[in-house]
Amino acid sequence: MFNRLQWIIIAVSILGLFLFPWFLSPFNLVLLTEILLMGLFALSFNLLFGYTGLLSFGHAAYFATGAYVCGYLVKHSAPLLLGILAGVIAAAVLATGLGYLSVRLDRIYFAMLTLAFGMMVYTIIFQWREVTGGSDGITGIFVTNLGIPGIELKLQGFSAYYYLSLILVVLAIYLLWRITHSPFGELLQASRENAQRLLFVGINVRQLRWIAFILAGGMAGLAGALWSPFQRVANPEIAHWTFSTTPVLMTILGGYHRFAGPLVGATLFIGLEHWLQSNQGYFWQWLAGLPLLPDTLVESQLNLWHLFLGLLLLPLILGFPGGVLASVEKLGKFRFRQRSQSQ
Amino acid sequence: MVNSASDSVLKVSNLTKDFSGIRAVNNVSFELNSGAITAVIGPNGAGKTTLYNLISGHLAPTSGSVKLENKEIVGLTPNLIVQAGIGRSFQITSIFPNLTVAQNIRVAVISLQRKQFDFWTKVQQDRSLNQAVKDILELVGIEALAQNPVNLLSHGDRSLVEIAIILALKPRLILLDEPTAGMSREEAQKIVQLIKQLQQATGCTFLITEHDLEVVFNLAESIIVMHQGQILLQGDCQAVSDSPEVRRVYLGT
Ligand SMILES: Nc1ncnc2c1ncn2[C@@H]1O[C@H](COP(=O)(O)OP(=O)(O)O)[C@@H](O)[C@H]1O
Ligand SMILES: [Mg+2]
Repeated sequence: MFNRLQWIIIAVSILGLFLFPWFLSPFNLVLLTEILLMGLFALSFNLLFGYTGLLSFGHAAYFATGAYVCGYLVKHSAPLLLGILAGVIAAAVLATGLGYLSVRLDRIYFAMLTLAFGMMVYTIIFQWREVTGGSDGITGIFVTNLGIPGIELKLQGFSAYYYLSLILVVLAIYLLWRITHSPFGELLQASRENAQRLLFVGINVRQLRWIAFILAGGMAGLAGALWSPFQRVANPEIAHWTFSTTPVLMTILGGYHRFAGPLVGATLFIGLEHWLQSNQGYFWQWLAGLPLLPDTLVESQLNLWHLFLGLLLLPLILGFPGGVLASVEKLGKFRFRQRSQSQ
Repeated sequence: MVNSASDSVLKVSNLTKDFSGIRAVNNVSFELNSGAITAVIGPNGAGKTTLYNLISGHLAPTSGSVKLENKEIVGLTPNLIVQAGIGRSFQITSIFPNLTVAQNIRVAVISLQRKQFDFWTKVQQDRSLNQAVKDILELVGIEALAQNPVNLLSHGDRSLVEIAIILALKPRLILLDEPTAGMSREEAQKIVQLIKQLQQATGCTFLITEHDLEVVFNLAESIIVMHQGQILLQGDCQAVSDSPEVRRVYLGT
């Protein structure tokens, strides 16, 4: 299935990921954990988008469900693994219900329906103060025990949580990889290409999409369940529809026609985001030098790194049609061909 | 038509379909014998495609019945009708554009082998899947195209892929809707030869709509002439070409 180069890349990446805690500062380790979890979130989104051809604008609902359920349980001193399991199951159950209704539609209607359901979930999380903490969210989520007797999770450093995330995310990615390369996965792609033909090949397309929706929801739930103990808080922003656009952007940035595209997109996105956040001062200085900008905007020094992020993402998305990963692959193949020709 | 019930594959009785104001299919009844190639002819708007849509479950009839080997199939969803043994093509070729020829066929084989809930096997390493794909590629004579994405193929080759998808389902009855539409003479001739050959090789029953009478006389053993939703005549080539009614409707003489 893979050529030798791909195997080497995969092996080196996984080995590198396991060795990183020895080299990286705690800050960078936190960043890397964030990339892993958001990468899984984006991959789960792409099971629906890139593979099945369904654009979900409400994927945050499942991430948030995982995060809140796990966060709530861990805060009330449940073992972490139990919290994660419950978070995944809760997200999958929610996806079973909302997915049943969502897959009755497709194209833009599917996107609108998932957006509407996402907003409903957000409203519930926002209003149900007794359980979710309302606008404050669930705070002070500290892991007291892992759930496996004899294994302690030391929370002093960040490396323990990083390793836990790494193991679970790598397992989940492997699962997703097998699913997308299975007969079921091939049918998902066929449904993206031509749903009517698939129906007239004898497949219950709605049921197929429903299962994909549940799997994607469960995987998003896993990312979320790992997220809240990592951030030590579950706040309603992660249920908001604006958060649903994050995996969309990451996936389009990295490339939705490649399995690893969302991972590449998440890495670029989070890397840029943090670089901009920590260098905002320079941008403002630079902006202040521009003659046409209204003084009031510059003086306000608003937290406008989103604006810069948008300005950087635009050329990236427009400049790499099909995503950064696909473009890099093409460039690599081109180089390789040139070299073999010159021999 | 032979009327022995034993080797009847499809039995259509009093099938009617109304669209707001139009009776597109009007009280149509006929039977198809096992292993025969039957053609449905008639001018544009005669109701041929609608008839296919009713048989294949794409549309629900206003009234009437369709029996596949004595089993009522009206009311079943299209995927269940396919599983019962009817494969169909569409007037506008319907395949999976960004997949390769081999993948297009493999999708049908996955359905036939009931592997749609296999989430784990690597599809490229599944022996029985890929052997079945290879058999179909050879049967249709498109092995050389196996790894090509279908959206880069010529119109004629795309039609071959659609026929290959249908054959991969191992149906008992195949409905082809204008398989030679938009083709050159040579391409059309190739398709006609292929259909004859496939009928010999598989023993499948074929129902084919076609507007080129020459093609029809060359291919079909039995012909159903439709006009304004009704069956005008059913018979062999001789009967059809001799009929003054058919000549009036079809040839405008
Ligand atoms: N979905 C539909 N809604 C309304 N009218 C239709 C529909 N499909 C077909 N018709 C009408 O039914 C008649 C038969 O059409 P059709 O079955 O496509 O004929 P043919 O395939 O013989 O050219 C035409 O008058 C057509 O306009
Ligand atoms: Mg037609």
